[in-house]
Amino acid sequence: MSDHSKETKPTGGQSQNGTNEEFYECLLNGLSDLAIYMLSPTGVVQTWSKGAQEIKQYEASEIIGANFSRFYNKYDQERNLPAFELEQAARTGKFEGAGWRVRKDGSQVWVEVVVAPLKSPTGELKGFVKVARDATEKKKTAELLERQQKDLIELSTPVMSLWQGILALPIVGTLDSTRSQIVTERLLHGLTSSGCTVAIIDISGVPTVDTVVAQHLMKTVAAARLMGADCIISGIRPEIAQTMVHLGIDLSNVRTKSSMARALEEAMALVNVRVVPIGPKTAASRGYDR
Amino acid sequence: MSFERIPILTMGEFLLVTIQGEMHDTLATTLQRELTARVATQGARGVLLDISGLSMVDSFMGRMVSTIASITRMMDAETVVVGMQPAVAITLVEMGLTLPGVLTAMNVERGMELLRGRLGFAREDSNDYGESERDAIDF
Amino acid sequence: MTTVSRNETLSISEEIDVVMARNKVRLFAKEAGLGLVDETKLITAASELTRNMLLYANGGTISIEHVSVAETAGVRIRFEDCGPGIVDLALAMTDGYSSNNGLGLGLPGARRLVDEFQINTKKGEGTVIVVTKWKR
Ligand SMILES: Nc1ncnc2c1ncn2[C@@H]1O[C@H](COP(=O)(O)OP(=O)(O)O)[C@@H](O)[C@H]1O
Ligand SMILES: [Mg+2]
Repeated sequence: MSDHSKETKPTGGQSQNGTNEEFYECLLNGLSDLAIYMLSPTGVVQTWSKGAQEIKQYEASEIIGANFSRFYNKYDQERNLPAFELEQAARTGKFEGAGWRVRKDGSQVWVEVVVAPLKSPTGELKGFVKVARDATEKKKTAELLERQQKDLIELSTPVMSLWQGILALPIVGTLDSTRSQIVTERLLHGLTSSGCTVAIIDISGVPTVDTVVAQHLMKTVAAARLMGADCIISGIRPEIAQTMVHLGIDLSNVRTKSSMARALEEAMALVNVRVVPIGPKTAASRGYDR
Repeated sequence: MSFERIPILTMGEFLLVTIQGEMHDTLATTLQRELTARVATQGARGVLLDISGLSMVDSFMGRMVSTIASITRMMDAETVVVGMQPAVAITLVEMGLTLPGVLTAMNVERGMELLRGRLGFAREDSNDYGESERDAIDF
Repeated sequence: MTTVSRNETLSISEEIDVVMARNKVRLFAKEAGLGLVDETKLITAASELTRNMLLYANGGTISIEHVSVAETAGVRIRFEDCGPGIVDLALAMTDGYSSNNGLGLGLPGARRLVDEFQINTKKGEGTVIVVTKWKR
C-alpha cells in the first residue's frame, strides 16, 4: 500500500502555475488503473478521472455532484464507513483501507484506498483527495490460496467413523500449533455431528511429540471430555514414549494405547461392545453350514 | 428480566434442565436455588443440565455448574452436564476450567444412560464400575 | 499500519450490560470474519473482563473496534474503569487467585483466550485493559 502514497503526493501539493494544471491533467488520466478524485468536505464528488470511470463505471457527468457514499454497499453505509474515512483522514492526515465497493452496474470491486485531506494554508479543510486501486484479482487470489491451504490441512487429517459410536483421527505429519487447533476443532465437530462418544487419535504418523504438541493433545482430550466423549491416544511409538517421559509430560490422565488395534478394543468396551472370536471352523460348525 | 425462569422438567427419577439463550447472573443464581429445592422435594436421583443451547460459558457460569454438581451430589443426586458445544469446550479448557468431577454426556439420552448406570451400581451397593454393565455382542 | 474502521462504546453499570457487551462483541467478531471458536474465545474473555469491571470497580466503559493490518482483520476491545485499581497485578494474573471467592480464572483466562492483552492499572485510579483477537 506504500506505493500509493508516493503517487498521491503531487495531488496534495500546492498549485502554482498553469503547467501544474496540465501536469495534473496528464497524471490523473494517465494512471488509468487508479481512480483519483476529489471530494468536498462532506464527501460530494468534485472531480473524476479516467481511472475512476474505469473502476467505478460512472461517467464524470453522472457522478460529479453526488455523494461518494453511493460507492459503498448497504452494510458499510449503515455503519457509516464513508463518513468515518473522511473524519479519520481529516483528523490524522490520512486514511488507508481496503474493502468491497459497488460499481454502477451493481457488481463488486475490491479496492485499496487512500484518502488525504486538502487544507488551505490557514489549515481550513477544503476537501479530500481519494485514490483507489482495483485489487479484485489480488484479493481473489489471496482468498483462493487461503482456501486451498485449509483444504490441504483438512485432507491430511481425515475424521472417520470406525464403528458405531467410534471415531478415528489418524494424524500424519508434523503437528504445529495451527494444525493442532484445526485437528481439535475437526475432531470435536466430528463428535457432535456423528453422535460418536469415543474418539481414537492415532499419532503413529507424527514424527515428534514435544511439550507443545503433548499439551495440545491433552487439551483436546479435556475438551472432548467436557462434551461428554472419551478420547484414546494410540500409536505412541517407543521413542516418542521415551521423549515424553524425559520432557516430564504426564499423560497419566489420558487413555493411551500402543496400537490402533488395542485402542479399538478399548473403544469398543467403552461403547458396550465386546468382540468375541467365532472360533475355529470345527466339524460341528461345518456340519451346521450344510 | 427478573421473571425469567429456566424450566425444570421431571423425567422419572431425574430432573432435566434445558438452559438456552442468554444466561445472566441472576438467572444463574435463581436456577441454582430452585434446582436444589426441587432435588430435595422430589427426591430426584440425578440432574441433567442440558447446555447445548449455550454459545458461551464463562467462569461465573462454570462455577455455577460445579456448585450445582457439588450440592446435588451431597443430596444424593448426580449432575450430568449435557451437550456442551465444541467451541465452548475448547474455550473452557483454554481458560483452565475443566470442571473436574462433573459428569458429562454428549446428549440427554446418553446422560440418562450414564445416570442409570451409576444408580444401578449404587443400588447393588458396589463400587466396581467394571465390565458387568456391558452387554457382549457377538459378531 | 493498523486501521480502525468502526468502533462502539458501551457503558457498563449493571449486570444486564454484560449480556449486551457479549452480544456486541459477537457482532464485531462476525464482521471481522473470526471463526466460531475464536469468536467464542473473544466473547468469553469480554464477559470475564466486563464482569470484573462490574464486581470490582462499580462499572466502567468498554469500546469495541474493528481493526485491520494489511489483509488481516481483527477485533480490539478496551475495558476502562475508575475503580480501586489492582494492587498486586502479578497475583491477580495468577490462575486461581480471587479476592472474591471466585474461580480466579477471569484475568489469566482472558489473557490466554486473546492474541494481545495489555493491562494498565494504578491504585486508586482505575484499570485499563486492551485485548485484541485476529482472524486466523
Ligand atoms: N477491574 C478491576 N479492578 C480492581 N480489581 C480487579 C479488577 N479485575 C480484577 N480485579 C482483582 O483481581 C482478582 C482476580 O480477578 P479474576 O481473575 O477475574 O478472578 P475472580 O473474578 O474470580 O476473582 C479479583 O479477585 C480482584 O481482586
Ligand atoms: Mg473475574
